[in-house]
Amino acid sequence: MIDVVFLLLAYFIVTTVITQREDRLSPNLSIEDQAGGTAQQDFEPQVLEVKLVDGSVEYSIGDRRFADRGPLVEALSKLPQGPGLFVRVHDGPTVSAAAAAIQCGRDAGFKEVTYVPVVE
Amino acid sequence: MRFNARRPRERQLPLDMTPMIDIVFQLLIFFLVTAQLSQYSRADLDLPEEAGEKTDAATEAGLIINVLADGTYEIASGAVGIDEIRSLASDLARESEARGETARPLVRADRNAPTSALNLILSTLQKAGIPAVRIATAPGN
Repeated sequence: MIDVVFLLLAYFIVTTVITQREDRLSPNLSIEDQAGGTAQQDFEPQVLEVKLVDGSVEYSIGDRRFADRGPLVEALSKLPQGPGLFVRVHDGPTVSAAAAAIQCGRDAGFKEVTYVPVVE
Repeated sequence: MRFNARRPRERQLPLDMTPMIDIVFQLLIFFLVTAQLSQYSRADLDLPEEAGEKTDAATEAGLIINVLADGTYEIASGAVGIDEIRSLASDLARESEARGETARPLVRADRNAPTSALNLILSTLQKAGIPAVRIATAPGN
């Protein structure tokens, strides 16, 4: 019995170690008609668009377009952070692109990042 | 005068196994429980490789939704439709509001899943009264 118990113990120790560690990104949620701003808002929120253009992921803030993370984080970090960042994700890219956009917002120092799903 | 030539029998202290067995059982129970809890609702997914935020990881999710690479949804290893998720999310939002807490369900989405699937699930959650979510990442890089 002790042998069996030891085997079970070893099994659970090994499988527990193998279990992949996970972390979290915690965006707020907003739907399309709430993201555009209302008359009561004093600040224009920063909007980061994530879409697929010609088969590759494109991040854009206004008319500025980015393909890589470094320049995107740099550009985001220069924006005023009080109003927060809205990440509008269009259909087309993969989830990794959406997660990268949220992470870039966090890396740039935005405390409030809001995910706006664009259901097309 | 004869002396007893025989040496006194060596006293052997019996090895007491009881504490060790107790500890082994305790460890076994611990690993059984933690393995069960960690595997529950955990589909085998390639999560987005992002560093995450390293905050409020201990907060109870209440609802864990897996988005598979093909865009389908699973809750607790069972396939679910968008209507079922909407119903569960409404219940969660109501319960959280009654407790005075903010519901933050955990969405575990495969990194190769289309954003259309993620967008649909997040807009459904939002319309059900969920103000924020947590998106699981794998801090690999």
